[in-house]
Amino acid sequence: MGKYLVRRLLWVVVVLFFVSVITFLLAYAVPGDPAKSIAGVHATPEVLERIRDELGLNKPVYEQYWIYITNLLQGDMGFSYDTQRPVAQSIIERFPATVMIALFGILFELVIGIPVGMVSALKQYSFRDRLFTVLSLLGIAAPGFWLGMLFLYVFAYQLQIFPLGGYEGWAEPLYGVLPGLTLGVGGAAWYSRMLRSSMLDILNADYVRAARAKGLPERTVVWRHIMRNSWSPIITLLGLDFGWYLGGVLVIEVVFGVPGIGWQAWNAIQTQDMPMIMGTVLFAAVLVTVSNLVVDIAYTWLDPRVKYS
Amino acid sequence: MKRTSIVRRPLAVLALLVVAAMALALVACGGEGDEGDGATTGGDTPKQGGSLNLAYLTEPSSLDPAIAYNVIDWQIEYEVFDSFLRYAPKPGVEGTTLIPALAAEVPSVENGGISEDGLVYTFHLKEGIKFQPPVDREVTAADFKYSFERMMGEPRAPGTSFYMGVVGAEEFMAGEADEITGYKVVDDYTVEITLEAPDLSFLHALTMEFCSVIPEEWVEKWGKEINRHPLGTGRYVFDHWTPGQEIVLTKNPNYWEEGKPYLDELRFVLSFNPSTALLKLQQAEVDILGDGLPPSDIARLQNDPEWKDYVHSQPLIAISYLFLNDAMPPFDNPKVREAIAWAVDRDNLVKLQGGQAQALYQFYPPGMPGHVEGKEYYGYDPEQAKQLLAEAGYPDGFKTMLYTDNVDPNPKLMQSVQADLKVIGIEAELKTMGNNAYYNQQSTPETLTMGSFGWWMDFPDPSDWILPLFSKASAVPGGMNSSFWWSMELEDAYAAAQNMTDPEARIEAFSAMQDIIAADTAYAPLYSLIQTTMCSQNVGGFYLHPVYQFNPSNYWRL
Repeated sequence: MGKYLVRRLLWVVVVLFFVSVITFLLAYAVPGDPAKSIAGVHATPEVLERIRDELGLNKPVYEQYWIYITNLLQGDMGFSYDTQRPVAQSIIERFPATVMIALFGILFELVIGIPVGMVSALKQYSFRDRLFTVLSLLGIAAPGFWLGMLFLYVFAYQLQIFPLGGYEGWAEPLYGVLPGLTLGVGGAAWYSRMLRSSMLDILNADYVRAARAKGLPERTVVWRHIMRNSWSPIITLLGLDFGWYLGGVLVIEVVFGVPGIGWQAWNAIQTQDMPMIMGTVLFAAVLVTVSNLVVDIAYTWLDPRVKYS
Repeated sequence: MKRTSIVRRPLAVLALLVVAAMALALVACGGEGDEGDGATTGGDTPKQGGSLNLAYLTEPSSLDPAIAYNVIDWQIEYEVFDSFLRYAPKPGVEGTTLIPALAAEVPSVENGGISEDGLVYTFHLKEGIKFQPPVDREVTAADFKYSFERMMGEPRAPGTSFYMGVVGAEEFMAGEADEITGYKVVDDYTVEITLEAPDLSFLHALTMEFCSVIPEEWVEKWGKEINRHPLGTGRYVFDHWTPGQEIVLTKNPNYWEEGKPYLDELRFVLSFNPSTALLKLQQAEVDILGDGLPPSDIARLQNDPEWKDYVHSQPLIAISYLFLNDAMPPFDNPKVREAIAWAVDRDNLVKLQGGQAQALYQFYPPGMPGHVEGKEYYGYDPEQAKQLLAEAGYPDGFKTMLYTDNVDPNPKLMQSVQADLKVIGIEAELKTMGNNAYYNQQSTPETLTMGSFGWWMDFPDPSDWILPLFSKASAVPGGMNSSFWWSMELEDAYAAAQNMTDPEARIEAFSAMQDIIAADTAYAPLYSLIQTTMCSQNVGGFYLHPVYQFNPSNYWRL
C-alpha cells in the first residue's frame, strides 16, 4: 500500500506537469494580446511595449514557462495581470465560498440520490420507480442556471425561506443551501440512476439469495449485503464531483452571486490573465487528482477484495 | 472609452446570456412600454443620511486612477476622486457641460483661463480643499502635477495617449526628461498646462479619472497595493473592499461642498447578475441596478403599475457600426460600401434588442455634440443597394465573410445583417470568435473583411469619435480604425477644427466632417444604444447621467 501511494503521488506530479504545459500552450495558442487586454483601446504601441516588457511577454514561450514553473516550485504563483494581486491570495480569498457550495452540493446529492436510488432498485418497475426515473431524467436535463433561478424565485423571493443569493462567509451557512441544492439535484439524479443499476446487478446475486434464505432480516440484507457492494460507482462519482465542484462551478456562482473560484477562472480566461489561468487550472487539477486518489484508497476500505500492490 | 461589443470584463456577457435565458424561464413579458426620459423620481427635497446599495455583476480590477478603466472601476472612482472639473449633475445634454470641481472656474478664452492661441490652460484651485482622512492635508497645485506625472509614468496606464499633446510629455514618456515641462506649478493654487497644439477637447480629457488628484504620501505608503486603497478629495471615503462581495464608501468629513453628499454610505454589492439583482431590488435589498434591467424584463416592468415609475432610460453615447475594410477588395470600392449601408434593416436590429437601441443613419450618436437631429445619410432600401452594387460592377453580388465576436447580442444581429446582404446578392459567411481574438484581428490590417464594431465615448466631444475611428493615425496595427479608411480631406478638416478656440464653430466643423465620412461610407452606421435600469422605491432624486450613468452623491434615501 505504501509503495502504491508513493507511485500514485508521483503520477499526480506527472499529471500536474502535463496539465501545466498544456494549459500554458493553450493559453498562448488563443489569438489575442494580454498587453492589449490590460491597456485598453487607447494604448499606444509604446505603452503596449512597456507592458510586455514589464510582464516578460516579449520572452520566448518556453522561457516564460520555465520562469513560471520555477517560481511555482518555490511556492510563488505570480501576480495577476489584471488585478496586480498575488494569484494565491485571490484563490485563497475565493476558495471558502466554493467549498461551502461544494459541501452543500455533495450533501444534497447524497441525501436525495441515495434514498431515491435504493427505492427505485428495491421496488423495480413500481410507480415510485417510474416516478423517480422521470424525475431523475428531469434533474439531469434541467440546466443549472434555470433550476437555480427557479429555486431563488420560489424559496428566496416568494417564500423568503433562504437569502436571495450572495455569500456572507461561513458564519451564514444559509447562503449555501440553494446553490448546493441546485448542484445537488442535478447530481442526485445521476447518483440515483447509478445506484439503482448497481443495486439491480446485485439484487439477484447468489450471496443475496443465500442471505435471505438463511432468514436474515431484509434490512440487514439490504445494508450489509447489497449496499456495501453497490457503493463503488457512488464513491467514484463522489470523488470526481467533489474535485470538480471545488474547482468552481461558474454557472451556479453567477446565478447566486457567490464569489467563488469559477468567477476567477472565467474572468482570467477572458482577459488572458496568464498567471491567474495557470493558478486556477492547476488548483482545480490538484483537487481533482487528489480526490481521485482518496477515492481509490476508499475502495480498499469499502471492498476488501480490492488490493493495491 | 471602450468598444461596446468588447468589454474588458467579459463575465458580464456570460451572465447576460445566462440571465436572459433565466428571465425567459421565469417571467411572462408584458406589452409595449414607454421609453424613459431620464427624469428624476422620489420627490424634490433631499434628505440627509442613510445608505444606498448598488448591485453589480463584476468587481473592479483596480481602483488606482492611473490604471483603472472599467465601467465599474470608474463608477467607484467618481465618488472617491476629484479633479479640476466635473460634469454638471443633470440628466440629458445638460449633463455633458463641464463645471468646476477643485478648480475655481472652468477655463475659457473669455475668462483668460485659455490663452488666445489656445495653447495655454490655467487652472486656479479652490483654497482650503483637504484630502480625505487620514491624510487630511490641503491640496495644492504640486499634488496635481505629481498625480499627472505619476499616471504618465505608470507602465500600465491605459490613458496616456490622451495627454501626449502636453509639451514635454513625449520626452517624459521616453525617459528623456524627469518632468513634464508643459505641466507647471505656478504657485500653490495655480497650475498652467501648455499644449503643443490647440485642442478644446483637452478639458474633457483632463476630466477623465486618469487625472484625479491623489496624495503622494498615500501612494508611497501603499506601493503596489494602492489599487485597493484609493484616497482622493471626492464625496466619499473608501472604507473597505471584501473581494467578490462588496465595496463600501462612507461620507467624506472633509468634503468641501456645503450639504453634500446626502447619503452617509454607498455600498457596491458585487457578483449579482441583473436578474438576481432585480429580485433583490424588488425585496428592497438593493437600490440601484448597476448593470441595468435584464432585457426580457423591461417591457413587463415598464407596464407594471407598481414599478413603472422606477424604470429609467437614457440614450447612451455609444454606437454599433459595420466596419468595411477599405484595404480589402471589394470593400475598397466606395459604391460597395454604400450599397451595404443601404441594405441593412436597422429597425430589425432594434427589434432584436427589445428596443434598447435606436437606428442610426449618421455617424455621431444622439447626445454627442456634432450629431444633427434628423440627419440621414442612408436608409433601408434594398433596390437602391442593388443598383449601387451594379454600378460598382457587381450586379450579381459576391461572396465574402462577415465577422463578429461571440458577445450577445452580436451574433444574432449579424445573422440579421447576413440575411439583409443576401437580399442584394452578397453571400456573406458569418464567423464568430472570442472577443479578445476578435479585438486583435479586427485591428490587424487586411485580416477581416467586414464585421460588427462598437464604440462608447470616453468623453462627450466628437474628437473622441474622429481620431480613434476615422483617422490615419488610428488606421494602424492595434489601432481602432477597423475599416482602415482615412482621407486627407478629413485629416485636414480635423486639424483645422482642433485649431479652433470658439467652441460652437468647432462643433459645427466636427459636424460637417460627417459629410466627408458619408461620401465614402467609411463604415455603415447601424444603431446607438439605450440604457435602461431601475431604482428601488427608497431612492430620492434618481436620474441617469449621460457621462457618469449614476450620480449617487446627488441621490438620497427616502
